Amino acid sequence: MTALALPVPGTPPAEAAAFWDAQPLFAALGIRVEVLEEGHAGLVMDRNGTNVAGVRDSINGGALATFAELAAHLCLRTVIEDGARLAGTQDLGISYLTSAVGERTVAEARVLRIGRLAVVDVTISDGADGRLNCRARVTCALERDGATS
Amino acid sequence: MPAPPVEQWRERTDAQPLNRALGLRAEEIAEGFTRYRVVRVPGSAAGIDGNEAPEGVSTFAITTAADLALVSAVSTTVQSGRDVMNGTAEMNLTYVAQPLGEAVVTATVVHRGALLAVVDVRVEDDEGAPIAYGRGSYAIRPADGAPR
Repeated sequence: MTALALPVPGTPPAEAAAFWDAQPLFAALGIRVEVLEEGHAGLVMDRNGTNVAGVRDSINGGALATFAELAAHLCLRTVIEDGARLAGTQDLGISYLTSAVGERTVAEARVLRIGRLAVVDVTISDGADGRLNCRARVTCALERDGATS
Repeated sequence: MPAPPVEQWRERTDAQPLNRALGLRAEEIAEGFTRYRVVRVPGSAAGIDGNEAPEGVSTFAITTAADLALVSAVSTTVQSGRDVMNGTAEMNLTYVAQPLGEAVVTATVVHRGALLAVVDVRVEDDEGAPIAYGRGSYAIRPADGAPR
């Protein structure tokens, strides 16, 4: 079986989703990709024995922050231009508003800005009633032609 | 709750499925302070975070470690019967370097109010060179029946 390649802009959404869903980190945290389109990514975290470790039987806060960061990265990979490379997270900020106690928790990531630094807004909400659990903003460095220009 | 015996705390913490999945290892705990190590877990996030360093741990793992560290640091300042842990309110992490190997995450409670604790988070490499700076706020509530 041919190994799936790291998705780039233009990778068919189904192929990109298959790549991410096959990552061990995604499997461990119960994360699946539902939407990948230009400038937008939608992921789902299913409650499991690994991610439930927060107060009041909720999804662990650190797992939620990682969920937001992953959603931001996947979102950016839908828009990075030819010759550019996502060079890692520069800044992550997250506000926890309500406990994530749903069976499904949804992360919606949307690009706010593309430049030397790319900025993504992420909302995390309950998959059943839409209650807002967290709001995050993730900034990533973009490298062009071998330099973080 | 006061800092638990270190060995017992390490065993309990390292056995948690989330920590095993992300390579988070407990190292030290004291009043208002904790330290964790992030080690590479085969296949956990190799190359998918944009970090091209072959031995570098992923920022995805560091993110969870930062919250783990700040929560457990706050937990050492909580008194049973007086306070109840009520969840992380805010967390921020700013990277100044990419992790080239393992990462050491320390959390120090810098303010402990009645309803909010503020925690300083540092992420460094094994030589003490900074990888990221962070800050977290953690909510605390009075235990039922405890005076405000």
